[in-house]
Amino acid sequence: MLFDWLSFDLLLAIALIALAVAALRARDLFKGIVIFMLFGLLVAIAWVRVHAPDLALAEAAIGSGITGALFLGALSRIERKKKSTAPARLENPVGGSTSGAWTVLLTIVLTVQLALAVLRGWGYSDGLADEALSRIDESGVINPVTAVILNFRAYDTLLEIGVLLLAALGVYAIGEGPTVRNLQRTSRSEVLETFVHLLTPMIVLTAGYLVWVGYKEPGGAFQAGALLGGAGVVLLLSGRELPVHAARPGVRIVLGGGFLVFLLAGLAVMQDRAFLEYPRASAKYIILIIELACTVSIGAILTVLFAGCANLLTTPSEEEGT
Amino acid sequence: MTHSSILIWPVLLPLFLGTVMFLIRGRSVLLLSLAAAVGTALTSFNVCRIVHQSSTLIHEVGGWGAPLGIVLRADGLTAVMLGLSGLVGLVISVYSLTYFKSNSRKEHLFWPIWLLLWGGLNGLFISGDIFNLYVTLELVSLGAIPLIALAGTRNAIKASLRYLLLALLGSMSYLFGVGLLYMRFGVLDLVMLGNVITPDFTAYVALALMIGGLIIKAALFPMHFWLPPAHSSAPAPVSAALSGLVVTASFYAIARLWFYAFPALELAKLSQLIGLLGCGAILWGGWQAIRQERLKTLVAYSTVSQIGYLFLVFPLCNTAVEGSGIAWSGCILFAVSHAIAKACAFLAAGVFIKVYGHDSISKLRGAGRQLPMVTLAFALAGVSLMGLPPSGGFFGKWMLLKAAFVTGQWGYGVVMVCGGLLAFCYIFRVLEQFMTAPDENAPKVKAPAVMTYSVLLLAVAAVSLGFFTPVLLSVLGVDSPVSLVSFAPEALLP
Amino acid sequence: MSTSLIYALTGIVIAGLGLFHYLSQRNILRKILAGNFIGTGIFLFLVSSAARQVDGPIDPVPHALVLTGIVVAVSATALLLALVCRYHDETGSLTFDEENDE
Repeated sequence: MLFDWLSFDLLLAIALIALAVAALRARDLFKGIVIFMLFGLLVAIAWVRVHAPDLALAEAAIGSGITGALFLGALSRIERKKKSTAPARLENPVGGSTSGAWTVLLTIVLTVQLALAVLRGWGYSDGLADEALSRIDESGVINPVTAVILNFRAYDTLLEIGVLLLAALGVYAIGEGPTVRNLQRTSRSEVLETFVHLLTPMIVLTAGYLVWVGYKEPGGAFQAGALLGGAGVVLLLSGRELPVHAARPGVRIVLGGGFLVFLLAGLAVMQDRAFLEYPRASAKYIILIIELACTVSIGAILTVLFAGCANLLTTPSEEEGT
Repeated sequence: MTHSSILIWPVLLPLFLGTVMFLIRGRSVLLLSLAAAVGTALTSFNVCRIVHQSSTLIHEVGGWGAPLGIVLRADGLTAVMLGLSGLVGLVISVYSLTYFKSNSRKEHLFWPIWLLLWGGLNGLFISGDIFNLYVTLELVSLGAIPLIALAGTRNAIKASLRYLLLALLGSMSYLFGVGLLYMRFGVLDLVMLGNVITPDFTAYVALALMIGGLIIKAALFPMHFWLPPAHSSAPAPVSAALSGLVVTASFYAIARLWFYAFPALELAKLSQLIGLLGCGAILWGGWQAIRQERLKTLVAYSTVSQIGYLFLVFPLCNTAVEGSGIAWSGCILFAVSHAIAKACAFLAAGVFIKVYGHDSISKLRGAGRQLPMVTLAFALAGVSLMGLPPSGGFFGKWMLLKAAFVTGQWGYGVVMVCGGLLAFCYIFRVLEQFMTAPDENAPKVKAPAVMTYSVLLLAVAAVSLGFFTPVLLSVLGVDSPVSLVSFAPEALLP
Repeated sequence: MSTSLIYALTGIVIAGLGLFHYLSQRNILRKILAGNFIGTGIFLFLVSSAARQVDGPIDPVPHALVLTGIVVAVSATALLLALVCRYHDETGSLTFDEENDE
């Protein structure tokens, strides 16, 4: 064997731990966040190694990309605010912990217990692999992960879209502070403009492809939606006035649409069946409709979440209630 | 199969109408919100009624069934919880109709978030799957946080930030436990898990992670410190929902896991530890409540104290001891009456804030003369919190006490009596202020009628719950994990 | 030692590291970052456990659970960050210490 996979895995594992330490202990928080994003990409590689390409895509797009963008948006907002007011040092590497020794002890004991629990319970059960794979042809799709997400355990996924919608609502509820300031638009650069012009349609196309291919290969609504969300973030950063304010009815429809379509699809089949029990013949198409609607909503919600963290939500015209 | 689909409506209806209310603004908000509230409550009561008449309802979402699919179940315990969330949720909704200024930003955001949260709560109660339980818990947490932040004050922002940081830790701990259980036993369905689980190291670690995570969310002493700032800084209807329903739901999740998924494990020592924490909560919460200057923080500390009683069920309900099933009945009865009374107390405090602009107890002198109805409601809620007859609180506490004697654990009984005395002190401290004569030149004030009467309705429900105890227990008896002692209220009265 | 077990244990170590910083950091932004490391560590464990049978089939159920978990994590992170920004607007502080609040 030319290439030893086991040493690759060990090296990757060490790299993951090293990056985690580096990110958590970074003096500069900005650096920490960038290392976190890099860490996410390596996690994605690890997941390819354990045969989870769907998740590798999701982790790279959401876990690393979108989450990192949220952090950077929030950090730049705070830095800007701080420059405008009194300069206060926030740099605070691990120091300042109150009862350090106890925390160290507690975490070590806990981690060891968890590792023991995993080692002792490893390999007893096959889980539901056989069950899921043997009934996959009843689900209307070929990719087992899509089958679980949109058919076997579709109810979880429905509620999960509800959680995302709640996050967007929450960002609206929290967003409006007393000091309202819009992002100072950076002057538009030619390169960025061309980039955005080319990139946006490509991202939309790729997202559409990911949804379509998700029924048999890695992909699906969440990965595609994350791509759209990424496009939204890039557009916002390039200074585009994307409609993200809840005051606009169109925005609200796009945000809530995916959840509503999912709910209504589940209800529509309910005449003489259970909730979300699709008829065998049309399962594939129902799943596709749900995925398309959710992709758009997920993309929009992720964009709104970024706008909320980067303080791009408030317009001075929006009214204040009691 | 088809008739069991009524089980899912208390979840779907608020989720659907909540989203619709996000999309639609304008004049129809009032009508829609009322329809959503009444509809959700009625569908919940309907499940309650059918479970009582027939037996446990089971709905296999997607038609797959366990272990592959998600199974929803409504047994007696779920039915009681659904009935509770229907009643309290309905009153909170009606109260909120006039609480938020019409067509304001807060109103636009309150309704969708509250309805999604309510749907999440009902989803949590009917969930029969440990991972689905996680998703509903998240729906509840991520709904509760923005509602607190909606108050917009600095305290509310700080409190909700703290709450979310802890709730997140709790969720992750729970999720880790779910992962361990699935790795070891290969199922997520609660009932199947209860059948296949064996007492080994992995199972115990998973149990500790899950129960530990939920204890943070349920604010059991000493993880209670996030609760008083969060519950006291939220808008009044939100405080009522948090203290009345959200905390109860976290406790419900613990009880559900403890008695249904983990019966095969040896939990006696852990139950004693939890019992000790419960005692700490009762005494510390009660003591702190006495010392508070603001009405809402007092009520919030009272929640810390009352949560402690609920956790006494774990040491007291020992299936090996004959007759200790009474602890289970007492605990659930106590949970229901606490939820109603506490929601009532917070809503009443909201009326005082609305009218006087503050809730400083010492400055509320004479409020009883000016707002007699609301004061009466607060007093009635206090009767239940103190555990005086004929309130539900009285019977719940009595049954817990009896269980303490039956199982020979006198210490818990003593703590419960002390907790009752503390409750007596903090409630009377407030009522005393209310009852003193107001200043001569105090301005005339008037409370909104809708708010006043919805508070009063809850107060009457809290006090008269005692009369409905036999009904409640017969609902609870449907597929109960422990054999319930047949209950005759006359036998308890002197 | 199998590939999946290596990554499962790595996940637990990362979750532990995250937990330590979650508890000991005072800067709230850093706490949130640490929280994301706990989450990713748990996900790493869960996904690896799906491949625990060396020659057996891959279990798709943990994959679905982790996808849900990732979405929940990003939702919670967004809410936390929005709250932290608002908190900083109000107090000028990034910690819970009262003396820094003004």
